Amino acid sequence: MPTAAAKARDDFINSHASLFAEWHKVAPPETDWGTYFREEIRNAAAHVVRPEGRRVLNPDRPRERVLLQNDASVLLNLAAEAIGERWPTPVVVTPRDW
Amino acid sequence: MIHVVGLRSPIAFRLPGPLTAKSLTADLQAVGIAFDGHEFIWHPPMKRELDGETDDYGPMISVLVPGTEDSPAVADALQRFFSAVAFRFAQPVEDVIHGGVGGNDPWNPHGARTQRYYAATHVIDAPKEIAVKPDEALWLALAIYREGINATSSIYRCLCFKNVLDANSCGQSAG
Repeated sequence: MPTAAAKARDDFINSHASLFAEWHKVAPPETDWGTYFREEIRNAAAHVVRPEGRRVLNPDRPRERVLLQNDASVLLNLAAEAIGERWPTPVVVTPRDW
Repeated sequence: MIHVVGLRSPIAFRLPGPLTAKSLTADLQAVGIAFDGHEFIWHPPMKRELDGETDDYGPMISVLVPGTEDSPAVADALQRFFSAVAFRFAQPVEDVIHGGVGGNDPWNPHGARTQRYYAATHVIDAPKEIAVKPDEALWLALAIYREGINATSSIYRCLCFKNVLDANSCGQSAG
């Protein structure tokens, strides 16, 4: 059962992931995006011994590598979006005069 | 003393100006960028001839360290600078080797270089200054984001970007 904080993150992910996934032509998961990234990516990446029925990441599987590359692209956009949403101008650049 | 860092990054800066045939074919220059009270000199990639062979080296950063007691502060600012650049320009910035050079000339292009990793160069108009809001949670988010951008492993990239989402929920435990 996800904590309240995890649920809030899932809600953020679920409200934004489809757009980025569509952009990268990544098919949606069977669950919602938030649950997928938490259970099948983050937890699967951190633990190789998993309960029966849970995803075990095996980087030797070619298809798995492609899926992970796709997921990384969607997560990159989500991460940048999350930073920009909380801090609208996180990095301020002062241009140089010509 | 000068703190020098050999980088694995495709970034090189150019002084802003009109795009002309001359400017497009000119050698890339070292530029100074102000950040957090320091001036960081970003040296472009370089070639070096040795015994008839040409070695390609990646970019380098150098910064003046006024006194040994300033070293920790400069080292902290340097890492935050890398994270700010990686986020702002969405390109890898990985510090591969660090070193120290005597003297007080940070514009010297030699010091700490690593083999050039990226075949292409991402040329950007050099800003005068880069600043990040003084917020520890933001610094952490940018730092982890840079780890993800730098990584070539998809599993590690996924972990880093998911951790950015977690770090973004400041004060809340990850579920």
